[in-house]
Amino acid sequence: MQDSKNSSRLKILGLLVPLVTFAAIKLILSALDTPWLDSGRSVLYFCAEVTTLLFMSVALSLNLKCGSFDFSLGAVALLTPYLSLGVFPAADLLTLFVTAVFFGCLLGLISGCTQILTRLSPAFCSLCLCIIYEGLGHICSRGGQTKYALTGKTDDSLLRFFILSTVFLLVFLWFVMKKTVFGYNYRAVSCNEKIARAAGVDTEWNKLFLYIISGGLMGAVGIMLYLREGESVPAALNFSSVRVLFFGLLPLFVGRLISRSSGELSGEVIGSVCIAMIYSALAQLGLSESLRTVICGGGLLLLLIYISNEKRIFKKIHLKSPVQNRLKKI
Amino acid sequence: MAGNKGKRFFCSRALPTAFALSCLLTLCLLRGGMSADYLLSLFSRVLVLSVITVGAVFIFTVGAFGISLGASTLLGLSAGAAVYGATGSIGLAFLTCIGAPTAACLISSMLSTLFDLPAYVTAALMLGLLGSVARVILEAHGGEIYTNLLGNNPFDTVGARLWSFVLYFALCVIIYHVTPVGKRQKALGDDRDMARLTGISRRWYVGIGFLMAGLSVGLGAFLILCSSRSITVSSVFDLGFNIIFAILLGGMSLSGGSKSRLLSSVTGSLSAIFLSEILREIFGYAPTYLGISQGIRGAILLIFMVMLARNDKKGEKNAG
Repeated sequence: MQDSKNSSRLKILGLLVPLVTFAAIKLILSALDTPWLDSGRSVLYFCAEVTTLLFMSVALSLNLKCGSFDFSLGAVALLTPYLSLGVFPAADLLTLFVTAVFFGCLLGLISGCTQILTRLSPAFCSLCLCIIYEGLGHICSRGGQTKYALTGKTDDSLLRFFILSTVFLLVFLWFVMKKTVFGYNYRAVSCNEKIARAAGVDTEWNKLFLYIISGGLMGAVGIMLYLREGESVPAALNFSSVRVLFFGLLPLFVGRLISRSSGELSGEVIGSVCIAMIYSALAQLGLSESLRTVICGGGLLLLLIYISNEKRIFKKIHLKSPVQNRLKKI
Repeated sequence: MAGNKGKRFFCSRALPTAFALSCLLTLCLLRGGMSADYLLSLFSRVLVLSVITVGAVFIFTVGAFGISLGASTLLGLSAGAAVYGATGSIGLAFLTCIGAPTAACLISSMLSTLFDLPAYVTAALMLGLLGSVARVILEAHGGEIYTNLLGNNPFDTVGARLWSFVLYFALCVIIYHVTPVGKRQKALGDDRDMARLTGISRRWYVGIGFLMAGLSVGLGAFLILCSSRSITVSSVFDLGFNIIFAILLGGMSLSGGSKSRLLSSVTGSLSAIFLSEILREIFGYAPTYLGISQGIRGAILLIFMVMLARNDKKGEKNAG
């Protein structure tokens, strides 16, 4: 009874985070006389940011929980719009989304097969694939000469698209993680790969499906970046695509922190909402993209240091950390 | 056993050297001979890349991951150019070029050893962060910092670059092979737990590795600054990729450890520069030349890594 009460209190606490973030940002920007989320266009941009960050953080999270980091995901996100727009240049939103996800899954399949067949460490293999996909992106964009501008899509249709994509992602994740064998195996592997393998889980197939799903998610991110910016994002070279992943790391780790109290999926949603608010507020202040990246990078660094050293920090100030408290209850 | 030892020697030493020589031969054939000026400019580029990659060997030896060295070089370059533009002092520019990347590398080292952050996440984070800090510096100067140092200073000569490389390489050889640093770093790269049990401090030796990498990046940034008219975001456009490419093409073991060699930085730099020129000769006319060049180099890198990884595994299997 006490446990369920505490659990409900923690869930409410988790839900308060975006409200507090919203209130704090609104207060600061009002004090600086800067409007924020006051027009349909800015709300659309905010929804686009939330959806993009959510897709990105889920893709990164799936990989990180299995102990690997896929450097090629950023390059997949930048390549898939050129592939899908090259095939269907004037398609409707659903067709663009489906083809981008398809191409993302295909690139993910290639990444997975390469890693399994070569037996290289996932990080080094993904680094080589990142280089190759970036090169392909540059070729598909004809050295930056090909640009696709977004035309014929109303703000209402774009808003509906972003909201429906978010709902689709949440339903898809719930179904895959809770109702499929892959989800069961994935949870086993993310706890301990060696024990999962010893228990009979086919880790190779699991890895392959993981790459396909992550690739599909980043394919969707690519098309969302195109819809958000109103034109195709320039293809990157020389590891510049890794910067795309950079923006997904902050909501990922904020989501992880929040998910301790509110559950995994809702933690990632809340994390994405909070970070999207912060990103849009910084953009509203007129800060350049580089300066925003530096601020968010600094914030991410501090957050990572806190998450990795939570017990040590609380020990030093003679307090029990929330993690230890939960462990004690178990 | 002797056959396997021969295969390991082939993969780690003979193959990279043969690859570099065959790239040089191919380049000569494609160009129908090479003029002295062209050879000197190639040699100059090889020297700058070798200066940077020789320090990167220290990072890879301890099993760490250094993909943010290109961003560190851009940071050193932009900070050094900003200081030179403000003061006109090449000495201060030199200190800034050395100081900024060294500080960045030491922060990376602290993040992985002191704060126990996951290595790959830290690498991606530092790549984004350092590149953005460099962009902020450049944006504060309107996107471009004019230095006009090309041909106007004593460090913009092949001789100066050669001496910089020779002296720095000699320092690295002393640290790596004469002092216990190299041996202990190799032990850390081979087996971290065993190294800890024998009393080798991971923090200290990983810190030294990143310090050496920072110094080499700083020195490389200074040499690039001295031969520049202006510094922009695209000044060291493909350096980050070339560093990884050179390290791995030089036969450096993926896992680091006892198979690591300083000379792999030199052979790898030769291969990287020659291959880059070969691809420019073949595809340079195409608007997508950069993409094609990168794609092909990525595929070559993947093949090399598979061969090196198989070589490492066979060695471990036979040793076991």
